[in-house]
Amino acid sequence: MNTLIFLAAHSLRRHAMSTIVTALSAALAVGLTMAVFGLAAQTRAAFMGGAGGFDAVLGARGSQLQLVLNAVFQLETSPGNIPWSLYETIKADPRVSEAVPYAVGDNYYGYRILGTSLMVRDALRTSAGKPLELEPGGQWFNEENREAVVGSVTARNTGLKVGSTFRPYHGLAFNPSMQHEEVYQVVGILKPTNTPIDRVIFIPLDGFYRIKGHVLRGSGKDYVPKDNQPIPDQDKELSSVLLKLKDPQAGFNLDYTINKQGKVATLAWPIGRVMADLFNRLGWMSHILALVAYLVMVVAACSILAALHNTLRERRREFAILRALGARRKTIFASVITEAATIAGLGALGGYLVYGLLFALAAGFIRNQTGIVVDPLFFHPALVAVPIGMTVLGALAGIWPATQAYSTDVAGNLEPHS
Amino acid sequence: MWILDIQKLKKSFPTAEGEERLIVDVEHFRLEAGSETALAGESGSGKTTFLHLISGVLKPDSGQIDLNGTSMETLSEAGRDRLRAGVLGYVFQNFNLLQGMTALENVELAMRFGGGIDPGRAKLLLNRMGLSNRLHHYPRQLSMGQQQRVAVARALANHPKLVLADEPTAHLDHVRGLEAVTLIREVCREFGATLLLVSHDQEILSHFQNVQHFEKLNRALHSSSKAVKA
Repeated sequence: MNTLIFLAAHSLRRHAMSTIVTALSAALAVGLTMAVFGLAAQTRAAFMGGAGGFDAVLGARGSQLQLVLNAVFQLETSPGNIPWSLYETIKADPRVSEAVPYAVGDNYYGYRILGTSLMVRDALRTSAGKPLELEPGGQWFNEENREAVVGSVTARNTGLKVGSTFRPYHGLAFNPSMQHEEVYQVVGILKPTNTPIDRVIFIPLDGFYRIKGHVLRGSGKDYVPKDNQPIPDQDKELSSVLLKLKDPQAGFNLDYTINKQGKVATLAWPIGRVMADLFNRLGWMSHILALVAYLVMVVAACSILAALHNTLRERRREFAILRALGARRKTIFASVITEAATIAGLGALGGYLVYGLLFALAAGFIRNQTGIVVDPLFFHPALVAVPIGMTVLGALAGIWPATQAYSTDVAGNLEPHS
Repeated sequence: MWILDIQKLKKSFPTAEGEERLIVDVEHFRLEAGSETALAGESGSGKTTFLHLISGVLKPDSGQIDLNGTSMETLSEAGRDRLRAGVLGYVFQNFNLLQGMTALENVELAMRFGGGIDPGRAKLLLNRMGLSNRLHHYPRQLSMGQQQRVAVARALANHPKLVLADEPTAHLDHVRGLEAVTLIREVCREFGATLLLVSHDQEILSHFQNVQHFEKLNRALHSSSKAVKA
């Protein structure tokens, strides 16, 4: 074994408890820093690519970001409604290949209920780009009935299964005193899609309109749907329409027509760009988190310095013996640096474990909150750079104690004197 | 042929009062290759400082030390380290074994700074010291006598030309002390090393034909009546 590694290993064994505690602090620092970078990049990538195969969202005049968060990520309140006629127009537009209507406003224990058409079945995609699939024994709702198809996370967390019945609650936030009277039956559970739709409940649009308490204002006047009577198109309204466009040029054209010339609606396009704007605006937060993580690494390096420094007094004699046996000063210096780097290196390895634990915790939280699934095997350069950086930082932290060891007075520390 | 030739060697240390106190002042001292010499002297006479100067651990204020034909004052510190590792074996009064290493590792440690690890020789030396069943024992698991024998084996690890033994019997009882000195003399002869053994024990000194009295050699003691610790 190389002499430096032998000496470092010998010393680390001798001070095993101090080594373990210090390496643990380095592991926490490395794991935390990698998690900050890894999760930030993953979350950004997941949100920017989490549109389920759609290119744009059409909604009420207002913020594009609010529109995307509401329609795609099920996170924000709706900026308002658009009349059915607008939906008919955009659906008929030759630049649009698919247009899926959404109406929101109810929930079940906080999970959004989306009134939509069966088009959703064929238009939506999983995070892997595959069509939606139902768990065995399920089917899609009949648009004429009070039936529901439930996302996988919603089903797991609410206990809904095929055959279950439930009564929606009014509003997007769960309020137990605002339960509707209508009873819906679950006819299908979606297989996990790893997208926000895992956290929703789909019901037929017509049924959504007919829930008591819902007032339609598509024509500008209040309209309350009547039993056994069709709802006039002019009174219908939608929260948003998810669009698939035929080509990118269509997006440019529609953006110009709807956003710049029109005054009625807003087109959020492309969805990835809208989300990128959000993350860019929140960039300062990432920087602060990164700064905190860097500081934790510096603190870990300081703990390595302190741990080595604390052992120096008792080790002066050891250094003197080594020198008396013929060890060069630079060997003593390098052995302490190696020791510091080894502690940091052990911490760096342990950091992967901490990273895995933090990632698993955060991934579960993110999935429950947004439906977005982050991939633990996702590669980020920080997964290599941070452990290496910690090891280098540890080696740098060893310079001061190494200098002390380097300058050990040999004769003065070889007991006893005569 | 001289293995060690010292001329006009002086070393002083600063006192608490800020003055320089002369600790070692040896006009002339020589050791013939293959010889064994005992250096007699009381505690505080500067013997250990003298050995540290010979080993290059300390640098003299003036004078010459020729060790194995190499003039030490011409060497850099690293050069003195190399010379010490290659030519000298040192048996310390309190053995100075590294507590976290086994007997075998302690011997091999010295080899790391000399000609490189030779596990066969390390085991051979420990076997010769009667420690064949203690190779993997830590110092705390060994008796004082056994620790001392490990220290002797370590001193011989790099085929030294000169072995310095500084009060090697200080921590042993009378009988074991005599046994230890006999063993050191035997193995030095066997392995062709010159021996310079420091002691103040008259019984031990009586076994050496060549006994030098450090009080006579060290002129610094004549210029001060105070005991000096260095």
